[in-house]
Amino acid sequence: MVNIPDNLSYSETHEWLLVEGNVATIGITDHAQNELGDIVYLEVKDPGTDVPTDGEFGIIESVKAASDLYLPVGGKVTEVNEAAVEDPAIINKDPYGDGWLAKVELADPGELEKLMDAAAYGAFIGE
Amino acid sequence: MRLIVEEGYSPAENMARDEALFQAFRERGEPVWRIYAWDRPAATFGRLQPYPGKMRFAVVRRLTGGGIVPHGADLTYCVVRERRRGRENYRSIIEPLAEALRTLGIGCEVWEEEEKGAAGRCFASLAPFDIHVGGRKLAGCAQYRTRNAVMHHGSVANSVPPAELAPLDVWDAGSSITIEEALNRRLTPDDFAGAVGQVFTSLQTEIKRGDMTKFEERTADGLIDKYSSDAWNEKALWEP
Repeated sequence: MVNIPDNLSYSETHEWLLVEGNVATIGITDHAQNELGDIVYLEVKDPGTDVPTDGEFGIIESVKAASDLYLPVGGKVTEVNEAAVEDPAIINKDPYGDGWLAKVELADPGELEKLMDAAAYGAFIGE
Repeated sequence: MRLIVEEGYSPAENMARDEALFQAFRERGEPVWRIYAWDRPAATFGRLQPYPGKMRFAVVRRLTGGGIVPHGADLTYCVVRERRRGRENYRSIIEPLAEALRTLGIGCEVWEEEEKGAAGRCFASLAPFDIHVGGRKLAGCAQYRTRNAVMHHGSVANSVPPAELAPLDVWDAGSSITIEEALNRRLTPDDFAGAVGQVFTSLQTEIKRGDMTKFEERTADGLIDKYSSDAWNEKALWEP
């Protein structure tokens, strides 16, 4: 049984977003970290980088697979979780807390409407 | 599905050709297996791994994850095709590959347990979906996944890596095994491709021998500089 907190929004590419004002904190879901397995490397684009809607904002690598990370809403990276870059295992341990990946200033908060709530994401992944 | 068999390309050319196939798959959707040998000893390493340093042989960063892999005495393969869910991304490639090796007389199995051994050194560790013979590693693999596509790289140890690659310290004779040791002979890329083709045919999957298209060749030519560059090999976070 994977953890899907009710207070977050979710993308089909298994990112979660927590929106406060015009800034979204983004990470990968418990389901995603479970499918990836032990995460060994993380790279996120530098603060100040503009990322288009559905564009790649980083790469995450588990023992044998490197996967692109997608930003479901366009915006500018404002902060990278350097603790997760230094010790990516925290993404496995706490994907919704200490394992967050980046903060993004949203270009168009209206885009958030296309994201899924917890119930819809649960159905999407078959939980 | 197209099956391409090639020999005689350099390390940068091999990585460029694989990326060209991946780009073509993302545009056109035709899955490809490319099976190849190398024109010289070389090493590749994982997409986000730290650069291992300059050596007397080429050391090239892959698009795929995983550890350092010695080339020159291996059978290398690259698969590009649609992304599937979770472990099915590996299982759907590795199980036919293991079956192909068994049809050639190698009593191998797929490692399904947790990783053991020296992580980051491909042939000194066993990770899920590696192929082994009695716990000794015969073949390793790694992937790069985008939204809808997967690039899969794999290396099957044909014989012991060339002596000049010893500084890599990635080969452990006790924990690895080669085709040559298992069969008392080496395989050619063509032998390997023939067995892979037979397995897919038995699975009712259409597979036919072919070459890279002119479009793919042009794309590959444009990528050779990338895989020869320090910008990519020493620190390749994003496209140079």
